[in-house]
Amino acid sequence: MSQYTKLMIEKGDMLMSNNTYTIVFTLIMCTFISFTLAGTSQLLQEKRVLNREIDMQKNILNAAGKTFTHSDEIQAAYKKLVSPIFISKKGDIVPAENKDNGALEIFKVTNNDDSTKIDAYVYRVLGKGLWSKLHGFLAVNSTGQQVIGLAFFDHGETPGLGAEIEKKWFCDNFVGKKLYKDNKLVGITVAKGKAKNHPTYKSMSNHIVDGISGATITSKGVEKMLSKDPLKYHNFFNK
Amino acid sequence: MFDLNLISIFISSIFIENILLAYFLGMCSFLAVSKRVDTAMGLGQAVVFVLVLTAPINWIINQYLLLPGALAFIGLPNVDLQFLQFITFISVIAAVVQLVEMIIEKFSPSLYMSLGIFLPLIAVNCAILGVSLFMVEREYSLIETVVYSAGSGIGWWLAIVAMASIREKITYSNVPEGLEGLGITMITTGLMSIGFMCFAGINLVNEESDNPALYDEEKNSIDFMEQNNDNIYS
Amino acid sequence: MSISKIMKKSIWTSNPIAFQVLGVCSALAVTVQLKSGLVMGLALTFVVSGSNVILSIMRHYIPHRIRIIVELAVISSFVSVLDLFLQAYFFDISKTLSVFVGLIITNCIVMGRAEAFALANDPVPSFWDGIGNGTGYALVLIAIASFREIFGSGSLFEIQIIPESFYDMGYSNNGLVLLPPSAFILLGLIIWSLKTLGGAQGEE
Repeated sequence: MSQYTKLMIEKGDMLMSNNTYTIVFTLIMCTFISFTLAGTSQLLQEKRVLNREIDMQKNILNAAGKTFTHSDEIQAAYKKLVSPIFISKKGDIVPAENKDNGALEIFKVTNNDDSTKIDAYVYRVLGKGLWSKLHGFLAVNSTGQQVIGLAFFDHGETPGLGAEIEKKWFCDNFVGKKLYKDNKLVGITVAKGKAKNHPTYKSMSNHIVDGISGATITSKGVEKMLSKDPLKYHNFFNK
Repeated sequence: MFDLNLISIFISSIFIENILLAYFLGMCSFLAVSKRVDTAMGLGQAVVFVLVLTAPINWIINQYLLLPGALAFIGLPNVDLQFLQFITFISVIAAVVQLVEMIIEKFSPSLYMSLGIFLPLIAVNCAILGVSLFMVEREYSLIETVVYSAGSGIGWWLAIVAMASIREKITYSNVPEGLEGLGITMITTGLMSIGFMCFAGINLVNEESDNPALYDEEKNSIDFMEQNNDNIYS
Repeated sequence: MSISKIMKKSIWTSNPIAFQVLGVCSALAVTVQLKSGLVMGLALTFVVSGSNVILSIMRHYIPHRIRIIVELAVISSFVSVLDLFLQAYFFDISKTLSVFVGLIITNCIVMGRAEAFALANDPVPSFWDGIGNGTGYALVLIAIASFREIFGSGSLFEIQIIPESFYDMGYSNNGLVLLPPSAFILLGLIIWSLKTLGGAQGEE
């Protein structure tokens, strides 16, 4: 190696351990990364927000038993059939402009052919999974006592285990099940294994669904969610 | 009830939801360092220290800088910086690890030597980032975060020391040649994990007792107390 | 090193999971179903090769003292951008992958290869090293995931493989196989077989 090369390498090493260089490098890196991340986030913001909105609309419709796949169909159906209502904790309907922080949101889903007929009321449900919160929509009939459908739109559970809650097979089991027994809220039990093997199946078959093997904690989260969240809307349905 | 919640988080993060044996985060350094009990002890303590420092710092940063509306105090109420969560959390963790490295080098050079590359690798330990991300997901308060991170750290420490003691004993057994080292460690971890699953049945807080809604039979309506706690993790 | 040498080394003789003991956390979490194991393997291969290339290009300019933080910064920015992109253009995939995104950043393979290879080699070999390690990782994941899905749920890619008649005869899915301990044990057995079949031991 020539003397010149050795000198350049030495200079290079010295440069590397030079404090000023480190600081300048760090500043350049930070600026570059901030611009890249902020820029990407900003550019893609609209699309991301739109995707999320369409996903929510799709799940509200799914819960009410109406399935659509294309985003145009979803948006059109949502516009035509779904209208949000705000209610106070006491169960009174509150006009949108007057709603305060304690107001709850319910979605009224009307029939496709007869817009005066209400097919379902859909509200948000929130449960605790193993890795994440379980965000879903529950569709109930006009008395609020029977389930028309259930759909999960956001969770971070393990695919194959907890994530099975979003699958059709799991949600379909809830269709027709009852939340109330003799006018008291009993919720829905997620059995370990098949519902028909549950000890209380004989008397409570309307309130038990098949479980997911290997996903006990997530199943318990769904169960607890369905025994607590409907309480918030009890007053609305019993007016 | 407030205190019971903290105790519940603490105990559950050590035994029931052990960050290593139930969520299997933090495996790499766990597998590599658990050959001897004294190095395992040292690494475990370092991890607890890093966790208890980084989780609250990340909480503060998240609360006052990143969440939507957090920047209202400087006049930017509509800014949502959550997409910066990964990179800020990791940077905080890397900085704290660097700090811990310098402290250990000064106060216990032998530990520093024996930990070798695994000290800086704490920065990439999934468990540490995992605790910060869980803390955000579950919307813990600052105190709950401190308790949760301490508990998780202690749980990880417990698991690694247990594993190291088992491995020390195994050196005297006849392990088939292909299984030596990593293979038998994996199988042992699997068995330990099954063991810890027994804790899953423990129910620490009776959820019925907190704030029941008041049901009025006659009017068939429910009266909600004003401080209705909406956090599903309490 | 020639490309084929790099690939052979990273897939077989120095497999990231089995021999380098890297990337184990996610190997256990996402291998309940074949589909997610495959997606994770692909995502990781993409990230390792990408970050390897970027870091290799930057390697002569990174000050030695802050190199770990710089590596982390590059890797987490890369993954964050990937996540944002998926949320905008492939929303459904991003929902499944969002859980794994955090896992990819702290995946020791990405850091490990950056440290061990990218910082000492040119961009093109670094790219292939990334592809090789990612593939080695993906193969182990696929092996574990196929086993767990077949014996735990009777299916592959969510298509029922074990016929109904087996269940009627008394066969039932093995629930333990779906739980984390089985992943540990399976991995141990895979390492045993790889070592016995003659893969070499340890890092380069």
